[in-house]
Amino acid sequence: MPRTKKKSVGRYLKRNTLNIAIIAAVLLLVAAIFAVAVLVVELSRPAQPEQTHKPSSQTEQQPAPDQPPSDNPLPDASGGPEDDLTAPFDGRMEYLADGKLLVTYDDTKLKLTTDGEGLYSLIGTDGSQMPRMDLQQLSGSLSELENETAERLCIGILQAYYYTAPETQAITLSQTARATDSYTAVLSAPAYEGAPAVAAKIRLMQLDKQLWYAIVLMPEGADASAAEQAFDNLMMQ
Amino acid sequence: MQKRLTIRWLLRMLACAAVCLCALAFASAREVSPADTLLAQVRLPKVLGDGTFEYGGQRFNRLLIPRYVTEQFEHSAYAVLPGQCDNRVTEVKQFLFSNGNFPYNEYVTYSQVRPPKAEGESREWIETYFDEHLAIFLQTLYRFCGLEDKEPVIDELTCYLLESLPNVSQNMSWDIESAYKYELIQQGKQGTVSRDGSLDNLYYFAQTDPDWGGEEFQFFKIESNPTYPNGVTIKDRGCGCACASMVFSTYHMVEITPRITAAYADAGSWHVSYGLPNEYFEGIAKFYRDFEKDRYGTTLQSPEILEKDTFTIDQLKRWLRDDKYMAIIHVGPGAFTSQEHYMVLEDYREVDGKGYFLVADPYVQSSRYKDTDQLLAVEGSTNEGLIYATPELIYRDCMAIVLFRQSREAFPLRCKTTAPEGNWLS
Repeated sequence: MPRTKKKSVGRYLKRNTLNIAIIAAVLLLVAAIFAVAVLVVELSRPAQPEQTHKPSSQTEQQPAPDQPPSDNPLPDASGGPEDDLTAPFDGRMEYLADGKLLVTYDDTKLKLTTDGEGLYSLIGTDGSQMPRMDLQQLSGSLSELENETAERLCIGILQAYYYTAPETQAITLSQTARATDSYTAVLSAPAYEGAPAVAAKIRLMQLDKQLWYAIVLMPEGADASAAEQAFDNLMMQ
Repeated sequence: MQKRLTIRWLLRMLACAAVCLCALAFASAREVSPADTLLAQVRLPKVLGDGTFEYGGQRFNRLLIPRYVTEQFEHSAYAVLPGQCDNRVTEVKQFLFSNGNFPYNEYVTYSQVRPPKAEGESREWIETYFDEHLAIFLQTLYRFCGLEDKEPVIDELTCYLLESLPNVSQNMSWDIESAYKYELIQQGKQGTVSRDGSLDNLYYFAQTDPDWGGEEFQFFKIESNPTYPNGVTIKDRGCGCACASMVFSTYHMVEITPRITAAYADAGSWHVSYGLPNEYFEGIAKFYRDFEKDRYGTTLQSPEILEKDTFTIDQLKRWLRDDKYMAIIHVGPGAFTSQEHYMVLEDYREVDGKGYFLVADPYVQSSRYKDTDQLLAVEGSTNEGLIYATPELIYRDCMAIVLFRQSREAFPLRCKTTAPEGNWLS
């Protein structure tokens, strides 16, 4: 009667160690090629066109007296006090994000404009570009943004206003607040290459499946109360 | 059994390739964070700062780069510095020299990429050498990008900027090029690059250059003698063409090689038995008058042909030294030739308290010179075609000069763009 050899797993692995190592290396190669391909696709995505507004006559800025940036406390990060989106103050109301975001503003001082490609801006009724508030939808999800990423994003959004932006470490992030559907930060940047010192508040908002950001830009010495009021009273549904 | 061994060998090779590829991928990958991916979507208007900068008394518009993009390249896997030789230099030079990428620009010139002098020569190809002109070009590009503090280097950020350069508007490409050529003049480094990478700070072309010296210089066929010598080369008779190249390149700030000026001579049938007449320079100057007017705004004025007895040597000194004109000298038998010859008078300078004309002789063979007591080698130059000559010698051998009454250092700097450019990065 022939004797059958029982193959053990251990013996099998021992005999085929080299082959297994080679197969693992080949799989690694495939993974590396895939990763490089993904990187190439990401990097080859065309940059979004940037607007290059020439600043208004506000470029003739007078030396600003030293004023501390706005020390309004961070508003409730989850939106207005009422769920039915009643106007928080007596101002003009505009709904964005398919009705999920209510923007209320003093239309005697501000007007809402859009570039027609997804950017909404509150600027002076006289057309002055600062102070201002901007809102835009991004393709992403707030839940996927860790705090470090959210901070980096907020700083980068502020830097996007500059022709030549200050370095990241020159920008101060002083307050942050995170809720389920929003992330808010207060930033400040020093005067840089002809630009005044600025303070800014940024809010990242998850509106159902849409990720939006809002930023209010407050140059030092400028009366930003109307724009800041509009920012602080953004209401999400 | 043999088949299994072959398969196993192939798998081993694949495994090695996998390891190398992974290492390479990690080494050269740009650090793109999730935040950067979102920032690429941000479309805020530019309202802070200024999108222009001042240079050479002109205001230029910037090439805008988001801060998060420059910070992606904080750590580069490689860095090639000026004075070094590297294959990456070759890639950069070939990329910038390519008409396919930059049909309307001369960011890198022929003299920066030409092949070695002789096959098998041990001297390195100039195109692998990170020369001073390339360094100044990169500095200019950095200036436009708001990176004034960056030292010229071929690193990942620089390569990224260069790869994006074909996307800029034509006016912006000309702004960059004008500023670059202007900077060369300001630093006194304009001109051709020698094969060993050194600069003579002037445009020099030799009729004896192996790149074109052996090319036939067509002679006008005389009907009565159809076999009148053909097969004469640029090396034999092309001194006038080489001189025209040197002068025109200087005034237009682009390399116009003797191949081009010889083609004009052929087309216009300018040849005479000994080479080219003085009137050739009038004709070719007229032909190339507005050669670069669109790009740089330069114009080449018609020269004057002055016979020897119509000017003094002191006038010639003043024209070259003070007015910074250029002249092509037509010499007869003497120190430089036994027949007739054209050379370029580039400048008049004092060397060790004595005045000399700086002569650019397109025929490189200094062993043929006579009256060498009145000649002086140009210190610091490896170019055997450059020589200092005393005023007495120059005037003695001179038959005529072709005088270009315009400063060799004049270059109109102007900005053609009307706004900064932000949508150019790849």
